[in-house]
This record gives sequence, structure tokens and C-alpha cells, in this order.
Amino acid sequence: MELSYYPGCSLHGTSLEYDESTRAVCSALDIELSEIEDWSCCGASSGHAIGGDLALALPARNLALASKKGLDVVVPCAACYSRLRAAQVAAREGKLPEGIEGIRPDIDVKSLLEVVAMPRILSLVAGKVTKALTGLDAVAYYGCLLVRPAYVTGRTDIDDPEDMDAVLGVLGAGVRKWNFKTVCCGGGLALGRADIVERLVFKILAEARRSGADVIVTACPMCLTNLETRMFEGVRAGRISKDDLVPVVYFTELMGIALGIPSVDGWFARHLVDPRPVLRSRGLL
Amino acid sequence: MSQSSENAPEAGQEISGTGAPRGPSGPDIEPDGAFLAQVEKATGMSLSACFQCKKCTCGCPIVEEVDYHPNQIVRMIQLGLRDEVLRSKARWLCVSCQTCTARCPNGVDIAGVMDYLRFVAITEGIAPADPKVASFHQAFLETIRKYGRSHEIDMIRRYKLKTGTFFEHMGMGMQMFKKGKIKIVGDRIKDLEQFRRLMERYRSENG
Repeated sequence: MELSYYPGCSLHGTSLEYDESTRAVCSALDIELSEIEDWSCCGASSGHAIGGDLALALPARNLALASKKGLDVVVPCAACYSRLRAAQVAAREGKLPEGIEGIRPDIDVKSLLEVVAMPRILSLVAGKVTKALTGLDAVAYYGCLLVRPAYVTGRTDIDDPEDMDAVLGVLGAGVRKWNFKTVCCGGGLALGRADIVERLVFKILAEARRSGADVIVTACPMCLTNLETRMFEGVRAGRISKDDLVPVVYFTELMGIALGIPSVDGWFARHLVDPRPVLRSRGLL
Repeated sequence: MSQSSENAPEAGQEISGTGAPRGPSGPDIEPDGAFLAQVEKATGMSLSACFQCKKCTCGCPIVEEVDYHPNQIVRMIQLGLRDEVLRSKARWLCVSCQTCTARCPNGVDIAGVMDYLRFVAITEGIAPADPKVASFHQAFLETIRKYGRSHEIDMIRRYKLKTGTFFEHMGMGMQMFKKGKIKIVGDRIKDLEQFRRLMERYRSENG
């Protein structure tokens, strides 16, 4: 399978490990990623928060570039996925701002999680697991934008998505049930109102601990950065203890372990809340 | 004027014995449909369909932090309380998590309404009730205008100049730098000229 690849700014900056693990995992699964030539920022939350038509114009530029190749577009970042999908939906409905052209209506925008969770790919993954994640308990944290709103994502399971649970199950992890799969972490306010965001993050953390999870698994670089930085600051300021922490990892990083990809250690070394101790204690590193 | 309205508490004060704050504009609101019509036309949604079930507010993650709850914002738009809505904190603190939109039984895209309200306020030059949040969005858009992509150091520098919060988040920033999460030199796209023309054409006037 060949797909156009939109990494987005986070995967070239704060979340290099998501980019590297995405490329490594796709390569192991024979999914060829062709990076969109000269892609630009999707506008993220600021584009639609204050930008008016920029909310669609910025992602649309990237869809127009991808249309030249005509392949479906895969997006690992939940926020970029949401913006590119919104532009694709608007293009299909003829609701793009005037003057934006060159978008083929037949190309689809998919999240990387959706691609990996396709039955065909999932059975491919199952056949390639060399180190099952036995003994590692995990909660799947989807956050907001992979699922909501339904008119953008086209999903019917917005309150209880199962994609990531299915992937983790195939990898051999113990998937814990919890009620916070799609509860917002407040990422959009991370710089402006860290006080509010900390309260939201600590609730998610407490729920993850209550569920018995060793790790919180995400597909969103905003969620991961936000959860990690609030935990880091919380410990530094003495508002939570180190024992309260639950490391956050990308689903692609866990796939890297299970598929026996050698460079996993370097990915985990970049985390602010180090997942390596718990992974080592389960014999996975 | 009747006795009861003379004794009425000021906006925001508790209505005695009820625990509830009084509404923003006094007891007698003359409904005005002009603002409702404007919002409905611009967003393509029927806010008139809202019957105040409060599912949006029940799911809102920042409901404890805001001056008006999502259902109240919708009701205020229905009543034409334009200034109160545009000056509200709720408009700026909304995290765009889309839970309200997802749960509305009447298909009102409340998060989309919040975007539109921010857009109108900025276009009209109304000072944001939470300036730091607005500064973040402005700093972000200025950065991508410069590079075509986001670049943390440039964006944070702009944000700190706007807000004067030079020492906030410093320890964490250093830690992220040590972990290789923050690049000194940002990515720059090739066709910046075309990208900037696009931004000029589609941005809000003061955004």
C-alpha cells in the first residue's frame, strides 16, 4: 500500500519519536509513505480559533499538493488529521472558501490509527509480532480530535472508540477498561492557562491509575506533550508525587517493541516522563 | 419600575436564597433576533433548535472555569445579548474539544459557534477576556506566516513578548530542549511567497 504522508509540525519538532516510529512501523508493514512535497502547517487550533477562513484554507493547501499524486493521505497527528479531514469534507460538499481549488474529491484523509486498525493491516501486524507485550497493562487514550466531531471524522463510535484497543490487543498488551478514552486534556490552553490544563490532566492521570494501567497510549502529539509537561511540572512543584505518574507513549512506539524494531530505545529516551523503567520491568526493553 | 426590580441584585450577584447568580443584563431582556440571525447565517446552523437540555454543559471539560456555560451562551445568542457573549470568558477558554457539538441532540455545532464568536470579536477589535489565550493564537499564526510551519522557539518568543510572561514554563522548556524536542532552527517551506499570499487572503482582519 502506498499513501501520501502528512507528518505535520509536531512530528518534525516536539514529537520526533512519533515520526520515527511511524516510519519504522509502516516500513515493517510494507506501507510506503510518500511525504507531501513542501507541506505546510494545517493551522492547528489557532487557525480555526481566530483565523476565520484560514481554518480551511491552510489544510486545503496541503490537500491540493497531495491531489497532484492522487494517493490517500495518512496523518498520524490527531489535530492535523482533524483539520485535513475538515477541509476534505468541505471540498466534497463544495463549502471551501472561494478561490481554493485543485482538491480531488476522491482522495481520502485517514488517521494512521485508522490505517493500522484496518482488518487487513491488523492481521498483518498479528503475524509479525515477535515480542508480545505480555504483562504490560495499557489504557487507550484517544482524546478529542480522532473521534469528534462526527461530521468531520465520519465515525459512529465517538464515545467508545475501539481502534486502539484492538491494536493493543493484537500486540499482546492487557487492555484496561476506563471511562476517559475521549475526555479532553485541554491541550489547546497549554501555554495560556496551564492552571486549568493541570486539573484536566491530573483527572486523566488519576483515572488511568485507578484502571491499573502501566502506560497511557495515545495517537496525538498534543495530548502526549500536554500530559507529559503537566506531570513534569506537577512533580517539580510538589503537587503530585513521582509515584503518581503514568508514562504516556505513542501506539506506534509499542508497535515498534512488538515488531522487534531495534531503534525503540532512542524513541523512549525523548520522553519527559520516562517509560523505560516500567517497560524494562516487564522485560520489554 | 416595580418594587421587585429595584431590589434586584446586580449582574453576577447571587439571587438571594437560590445560590444562582443573576443574569447579565437585568431582569427585563428585550429579545433581539438580529444577532441570532447573523450567527445562524454565518455558521449555517439552527441555534433556534436549542431547547436547553444542557447536554453540552454536562460534557464541557472547563465548565467550572467559565463565566457562562455552553447552553447559556446559546440562550444568550437566542436573546440577542451580543455584547455579553462577545466579551465572555467562555468564548476564549473553550478548548475546542467538540464534546458539546458531538452530544447536541439538535445538531448545534456549539464548538463551531465558539470559533465564530472569537472570529467576530477579533474582527471587531473587542479585547479578549483572557488575553493570554488570544496571544497564544496570534503568536502561533505569526510564526507560521514566517516559516510556513510551526517553530516552537519563535512562537514562544512571540507569546512571551505579548504577555510579559518571561519566566513561566522556563524549567520545562529547558527540559524539552535537553530531550531534543525543541529545534533551534525551524523548518521553512519552499514556496513561502504563495503561502503568505494565502494567509493574507483568508485571515480575519486583525487576527
